[in-house]
Amino acid sequence: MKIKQNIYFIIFVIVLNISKLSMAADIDYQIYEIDYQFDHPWSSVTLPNGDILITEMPGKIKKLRMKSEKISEIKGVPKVSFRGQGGLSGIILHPDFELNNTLFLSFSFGEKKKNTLRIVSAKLENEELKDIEIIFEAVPYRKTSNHYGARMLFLNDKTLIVTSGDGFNYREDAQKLDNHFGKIVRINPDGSIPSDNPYLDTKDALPEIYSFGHRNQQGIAYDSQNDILYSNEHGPRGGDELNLILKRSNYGWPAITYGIDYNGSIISPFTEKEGMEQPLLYWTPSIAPSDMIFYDGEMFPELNKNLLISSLVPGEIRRITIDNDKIREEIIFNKIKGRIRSIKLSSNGSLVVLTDGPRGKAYIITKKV
Amino acid sequence: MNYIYIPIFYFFSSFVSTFLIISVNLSSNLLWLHSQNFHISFQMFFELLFKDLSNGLLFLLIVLVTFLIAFFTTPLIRYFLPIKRTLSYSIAGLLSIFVMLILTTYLFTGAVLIAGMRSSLGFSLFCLSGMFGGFIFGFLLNKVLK
Repeated sequence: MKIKQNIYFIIFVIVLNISKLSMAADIDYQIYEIDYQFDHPWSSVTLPNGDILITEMPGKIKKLRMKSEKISEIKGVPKVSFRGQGGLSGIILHPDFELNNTLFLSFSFGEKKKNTLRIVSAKLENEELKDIEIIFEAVPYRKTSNHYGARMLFLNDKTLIVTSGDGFNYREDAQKLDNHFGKIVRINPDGSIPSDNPYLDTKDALPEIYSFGHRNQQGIAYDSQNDILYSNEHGPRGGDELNLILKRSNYGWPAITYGIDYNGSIISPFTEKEGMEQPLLYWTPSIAPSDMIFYDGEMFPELNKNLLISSLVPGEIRRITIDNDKIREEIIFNKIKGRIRSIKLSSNGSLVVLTDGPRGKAYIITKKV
Repeated sequence: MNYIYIPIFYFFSSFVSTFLIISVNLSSNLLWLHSQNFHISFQMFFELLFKDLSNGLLFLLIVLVTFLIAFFTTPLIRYFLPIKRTLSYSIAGLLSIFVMLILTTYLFTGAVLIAGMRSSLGFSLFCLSGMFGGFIFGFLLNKVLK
């Protein structure tokens, strides 16, 4: 009798967990693995002709030609500081790339004990970067090689959003407006400040700041139809967050957090405070969210208007469905193994996924044919 | 026969240093929160201290390893450099924690894993916690060894 009761209880627990986090949604897909090992790949972008540029943290950009599957190296990449969590990171195209061939790179720059997050623009001509211009540098410089943020995207108004992490040792500075630690910043493509940035009139505040109180925002996504910006960030031990980003808002780190320090000690006993935003979703234990897209492609209509989040621990792609106030979470595309560093949407609606590490892989996810 | 007490003294002094380090770390976090207009009561402090202590196994292990090296090395140094036992173990405790803090920061590419040591005051208090642990060890040894 007792054994029977235990079996019912186990079945109940399993059903309860499945309903909380569904595994493998019903999506017809195929995964195509690129036969090449990338050195710490971090991000990718698809060119208008379908070729893919992939950044490698030591400071290289590889171009993957989709027709021939040949890989070549882009010349003229600026020198980066490849150390700790730093190196060549993000890459995105100018909204008018087909007219101006301009792209943007984010990377850590400088010396071991004096470095920072830097954003440059460059023209891509014949597989070479030219006319490189620095358009943003996070200040002040830092002594650590951690928590750079470094994701970028363009809003509808063609302003550039950049995530700037808290530098690990400087977490309290995320609550101050006189620095770029733990901030989301907004700039024009030439580096100038948009005239409607939220802190232009605030004394001692840096004019690039859009929101603050962040930790290490590794993913940023944009619902361009509804002009909604999302960001995810690594918590410490637990407390990874998905946030809806509103300008002039404080996301609380490290004053409020759902995580604890890596050594087990409490960072803050508080999880909420008036004037500080709550996450849409948080993960304890951590999943280490690494990248994020808002899916609005044509290839997978069933994913439309969903957020797709890649994670490093244990290495998954999560589909987040936001339906009014209800948030649903599923693990999808679970055939990819390893720490997933990046997920990007290509122009035809397929997905480009990168795994982490010195022998990182690139995968293209398409509809099953 | 008195040597059987040495492991007990070693564990006790490690516990004391760990307790002090955790207390300093928690205090630095709470002082900052207080500066941000969060209300921190004494009751909250002790509740959080209890939580931090119960999660403090990693701290304890680090201090145990640090003191093990320090307390094994000290008699060798005292053989060549005769310093009073209490003083020599106090210095050993201080230096070992100092080196441990520097090493952990170096290993993690500049990231300070124990937040409380980011300020000069916090760093100094951590080192003094090590010194106090060393002092207790030397003091107790004096009671059982000649």
